[in-house]
Amino acid sequence: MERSETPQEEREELLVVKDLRVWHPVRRLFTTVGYIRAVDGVSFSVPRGKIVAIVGESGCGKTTLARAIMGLVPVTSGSIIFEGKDVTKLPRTVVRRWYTRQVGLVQQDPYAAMPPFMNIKTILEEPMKIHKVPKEERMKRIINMLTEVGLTPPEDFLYKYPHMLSGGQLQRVAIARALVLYPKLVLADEPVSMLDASVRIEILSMFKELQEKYKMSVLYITHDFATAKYFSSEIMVMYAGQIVEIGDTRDVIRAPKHPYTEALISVLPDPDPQNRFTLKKTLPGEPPNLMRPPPGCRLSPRCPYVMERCKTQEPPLLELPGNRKVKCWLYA
Amino acid sequence: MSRAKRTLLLLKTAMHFKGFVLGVAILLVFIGLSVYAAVTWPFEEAIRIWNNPAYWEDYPKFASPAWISLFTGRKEIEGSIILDSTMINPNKCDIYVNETHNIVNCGWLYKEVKIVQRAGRSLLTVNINFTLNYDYDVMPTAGDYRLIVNTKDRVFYYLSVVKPNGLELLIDKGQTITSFRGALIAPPEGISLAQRRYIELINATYGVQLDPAKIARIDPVILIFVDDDLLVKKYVETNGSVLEIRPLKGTYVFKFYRVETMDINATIDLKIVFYGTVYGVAGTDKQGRDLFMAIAWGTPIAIAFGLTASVVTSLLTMIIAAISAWYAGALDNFIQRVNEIFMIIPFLPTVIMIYLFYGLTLWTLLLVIIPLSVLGGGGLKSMRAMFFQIKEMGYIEAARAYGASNARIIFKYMVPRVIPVLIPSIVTAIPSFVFLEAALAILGIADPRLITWGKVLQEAYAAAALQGGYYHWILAPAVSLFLLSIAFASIGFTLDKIFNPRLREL
Amino acid sequence: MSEVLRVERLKLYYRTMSGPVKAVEDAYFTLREKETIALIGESGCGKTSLARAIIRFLPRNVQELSGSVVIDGVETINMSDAEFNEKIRWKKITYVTQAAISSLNPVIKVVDHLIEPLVINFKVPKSEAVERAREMIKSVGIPEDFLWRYPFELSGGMRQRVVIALSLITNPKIVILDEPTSALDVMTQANILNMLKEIRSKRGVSYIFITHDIAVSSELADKVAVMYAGWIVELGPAEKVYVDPLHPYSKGLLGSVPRLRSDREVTFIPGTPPSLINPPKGCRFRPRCKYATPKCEEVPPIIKLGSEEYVRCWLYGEK
Repeated sequence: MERSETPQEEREELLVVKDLRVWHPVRRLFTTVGYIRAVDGVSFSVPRGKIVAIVGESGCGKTTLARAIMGLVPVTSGSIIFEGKDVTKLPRTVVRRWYTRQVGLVQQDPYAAMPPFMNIKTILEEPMKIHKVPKEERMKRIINMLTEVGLTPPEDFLYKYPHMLSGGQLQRVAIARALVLYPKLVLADEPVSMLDASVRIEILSMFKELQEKYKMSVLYITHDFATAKYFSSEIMVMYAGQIVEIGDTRDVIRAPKHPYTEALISVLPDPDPQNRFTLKKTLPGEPPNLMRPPPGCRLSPRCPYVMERCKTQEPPLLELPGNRKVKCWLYA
Repeated sequence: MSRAKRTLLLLKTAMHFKGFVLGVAILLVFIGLSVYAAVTWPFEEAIRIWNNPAYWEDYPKFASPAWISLFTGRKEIEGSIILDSTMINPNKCDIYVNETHNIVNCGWLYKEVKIVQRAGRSLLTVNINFTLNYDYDVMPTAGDYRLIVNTKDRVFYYLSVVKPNGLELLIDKGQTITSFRGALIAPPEGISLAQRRYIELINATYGVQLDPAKIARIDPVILIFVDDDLLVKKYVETNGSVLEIRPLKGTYVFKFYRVETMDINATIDLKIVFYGTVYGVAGTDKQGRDLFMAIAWGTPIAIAFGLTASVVTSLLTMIIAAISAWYAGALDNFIQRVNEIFMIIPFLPTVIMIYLFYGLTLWTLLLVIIPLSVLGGGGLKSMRAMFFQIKEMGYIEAARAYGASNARIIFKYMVPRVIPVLIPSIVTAIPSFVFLEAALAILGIADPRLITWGKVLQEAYAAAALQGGYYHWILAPAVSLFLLSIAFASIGFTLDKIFNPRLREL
Repeated sequence: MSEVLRVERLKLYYRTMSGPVKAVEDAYFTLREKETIALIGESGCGKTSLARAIIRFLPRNVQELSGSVVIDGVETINMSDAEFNEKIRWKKITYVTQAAISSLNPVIKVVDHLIEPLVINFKVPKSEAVERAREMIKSVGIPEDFLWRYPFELSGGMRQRVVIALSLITNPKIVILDEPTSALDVMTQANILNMLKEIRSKRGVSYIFITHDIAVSSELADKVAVMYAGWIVELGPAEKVYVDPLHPYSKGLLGSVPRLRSDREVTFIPGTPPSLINPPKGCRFRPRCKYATPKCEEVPPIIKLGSEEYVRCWLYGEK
């Protein structure tokens, strides 16, 4: 795997992930019989103020990756360098007091993400109370944030409870909660997949406006290429715990280079009446067992372009012109 | 909605359930009872009274509750008939005093204390007459007479009763130098003076010879009040096989006469007590103690005990379960194994053992029961399961993401989810603790000082109340236990229905 | 191609504590042999209720079910439950529910799941039923030996195929597919859609395809019914509805789908769907429609624009 970042670039990037591995031990009867390699050697960087999408199917590791970056799951090896500091090596109290303030989280299910017994005001106040934002400032921020996410008049929403709001409204509250500490990085894990189609774009565009205003970076995790195309400037495709392709969103979608990306995109439909007359070309088989991934390239059992080399040697993340990286021997 | 408004709405909803209303009504009655107890007999005083036999001396023993007479239709003797020559109310009595005479006349009491000269010596003579109007349908359960004497020289005396039908029965005669009490009960062996005199009296008046063996078994107090005509008639009719005992209504005069002593400064008084058949709301026990007092004072103790035990047990269980679930891993393993060990250790024998070695007061009983219930209860496992579920919820993850500490997550995010389940279970657990205390008391494991319902039951059991037919002694605490449990159970179940609705109607 | 289903003036109201929920109002469409109709719309628009009304999978609090549902030439709306169960359900029309994956009994083998409708409803002898199950499971793309396994031994995609096999084994004319691929991976979804396409051409079955994923709906749809707040606001051939929708809501809905292969601007519809207990007076979309006129306070009729094109909007009606 090539590393092209210099230390100086590291410091300019907001977030640099280096060779991250998150392996879940599988225990039977007090001994560990194996590991589920949910994230297996992931490296990338997120510049300031940019939206980066992480796209993949379920089980590819994107959710685990997000949780690892948030500090919610323990990291097996590798580093997560945020503003020059390796978060994986920091003591837990520092992580809790400093890092959680810098990174925000928006989850998929707005109803599960809110404590049902707290009203909106309390929900938004909690992060501020924890990080000791002075009392006078808190209310200001709450009102401000509610307005920013489009819940107006804010006073109407303060004393409501989560079950009284619609999915779209509640997700706006979730976004407000993630932003209330003015974080530098926001992780959005499938933030709109549970919402109705027409509401998705509304929420994403509001989110995009806020991102531009507050100059935050966003890691947008999704399985939906179409919204990723709308929302993000850069895209990373994950398969079986690894990043297989990185590049500018539009370029990757228009001209995917990795066989998996190509298959994934070709399989996703647009509303087109011609679709019903053709069969989609799909990859045979299923994603590999993460406890015993195949040797070499993980896509090799299914890849239509497979070569001998692919079955034994794991390809590195090769850099291509046009700000593209592909983990595939086809481009060596 | 503010907390106060929410609680009010809750109460309003609960009011719709009949069980709840009933439960609250019963509970309010018990609370009222507790207040009454605390006001009427402050705690220390209550304990003192309860454990002091002398206080209950004149109370009827084994008396049924007074309201029984509504059902029996008979006129029962409520309390005791007390004839006491020291009870002189100056406002109601004529008193005449000079150097040699001291005469008191209160209508029911005639007391004459005279100093006379006989054979050159001064003698103190006393005459006491008690006039009693007896119109009850029942016999007293027992009776005794007490000579209260303060003298340096022997006092001679005769005590007899003049019945409404004119017959005069000698009860006792003799001499004494100290106070003493004579019980008007049949002697275990042989025949007493009063009984012998009765046989003679009947013989002289009716010409009928009563069988001494039979009479010897009848308490003199009964002979005093028995309707002789009826007795003799039936005796003769049945040829001596049936002794018909019915009280004779009318005016009785008890004569305490030929009472003399050489000590002219002596004081001599007479107190006759006939113990009644009924008393008060709940009757009395073997020592004559008013069971209502026991019930009334048992109430706050039962409620306080049950409430404290239940609340503390539930809270501790919840906290330990939360910690166990949240930290998981080795700590969880450890706590679970400890829990399982305590589940196997038998609860009752452990408590008994502790009692045998260390003794118990009510508070130390709590101190033993609560840890045993928490550590050995099934509540830990089910709460832990709930917390595990809550732990997986998205908002817990969100809280960790914005930096909430473990303690904050446990107490502000997890515990509130569990409270709607906790509150009804606290209320429904109260009766089991109340019962536990009663059960332990019946086994003899109880605070020796306190009055509890269990104690009452234990004493009733020890005195073979059921065999003796003294059902009220058992019923009073049993019914109280039952009602209190129903009250809490109804309230608890209603709360559960409100907090945890299972089926939602569309 | 003969007609297998004709729905007219279908009405479904639920009874609730807050009043009647007007879940489906005046639904109308026809379906021919081998044809697929897609019901698209957002959550709460009534598409699932409509399907359930047709196959009569209804909860107890139904206040009104009226109109006309003619399945394979037979009017079913007035049939008793027993009659419908005996003659129609699982014989002429079957239903694949949402999250069907969890509808397989984990302690019953796959083969036993498949032969059950045959043995019970059609009195087919067991050996014959097993043969048909064998043939069916192959046509949904599962190797034969999986017949003897238990559902938990199968992956999500395989389980979904089993459920679809179950819906086809009695050779119905119509299969209602209610979000058949929502819980699946994109690849698996594509495979299942491929399989559904093949089965359609081989067996000649008609589909009622319900989904909230508009792009996916175009994989099967010959005609499209756009639903909003219990109404079918537009009904037309796929070529028309996906490319040039007529109803303002359809326009908004299709406009809000981000396209992978084109750079069209994405729009959204402000506001939220109305309450079905108290729908707005007149056109149910009026509060959110940018073309609304005072006339819209009257309920717009269903306006026929072509041989199979209908819109419920004053913009296309008599002035």
